[in-house]
Amino acid sequence: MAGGRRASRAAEAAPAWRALPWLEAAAALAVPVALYLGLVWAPPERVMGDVQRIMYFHVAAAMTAYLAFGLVAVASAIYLLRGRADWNRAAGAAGEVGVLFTTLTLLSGSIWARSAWNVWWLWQDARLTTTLLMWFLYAGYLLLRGAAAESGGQAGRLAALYGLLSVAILPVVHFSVVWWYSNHPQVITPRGIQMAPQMALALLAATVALLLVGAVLFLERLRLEGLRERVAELEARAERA
Amino acid sequence: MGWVALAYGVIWLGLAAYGLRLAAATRRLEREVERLAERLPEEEKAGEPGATAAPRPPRRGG
Repeated sequence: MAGGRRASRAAEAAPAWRALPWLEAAAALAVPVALYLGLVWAPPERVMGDVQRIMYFHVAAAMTAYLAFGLVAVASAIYLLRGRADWNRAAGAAGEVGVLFTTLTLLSGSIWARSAWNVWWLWQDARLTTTLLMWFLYAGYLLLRGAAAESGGQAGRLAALYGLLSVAILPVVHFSVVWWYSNHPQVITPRGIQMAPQMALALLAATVALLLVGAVLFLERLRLEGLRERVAELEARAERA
Repeated sequence: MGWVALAYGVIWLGLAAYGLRLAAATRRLEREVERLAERLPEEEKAGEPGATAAPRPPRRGG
């Protein structure tokens, strides 16, 4: 019992985990504030009415996914350069959180489309199709990582290279509404945020709240990966003893 | 408001489900680490992270 507690304490003394309780407290505060601003305080949109309120957390989820996939690329690049396993673990955790937030973006967007366009999905819309492509790309990354963990060695580096190169989809998704046909509303443009100040504040609050939730989930997922390796190490030591 | 409730429900239920799954897996692995650490012999436990070197008993009849 004491050995397990000691190991757990040692892992939790690492700098990344010291921020976790603070992030959890900030998220617990930010989420109800963002829900209040988005659902009550911000005015309904003139044409769409209340349905537009879906946008606050839909856009925030998309931004969190972008950031998570950016982190996959950075952590994968560092892992490829330095070969440190903790960066590889960080890339995997960020990839999983990114896929989760992309799933939520696609589902909430589809619900909005059903109410605004009267269809659940429009294949000819470039933003929708490229976002789905991004989901498949990173779901593939997670599958590749799973296979690489079983085979080990060079396969892990191949998965990291895939994670690094996949980041090229982010500008394609973001600029798809400019490059190709899209019905998708453009909230953030080069001219700024296209909405009333109250709505912009609700969007900002939702983005901060989901970024904090994403950061908490990322660190928890990272801790889980560390524990998995610890179990494998202890099993190997118990077999040797 | 029905579509809004559905969208917000999907987002927050999705996040809660993932968070709960993570928490359950973490608790399971923490228990596993404790169980495995208990099975280690004493000299292996001394090498655990955060462990202090246990004083050895004095040898008899030296």
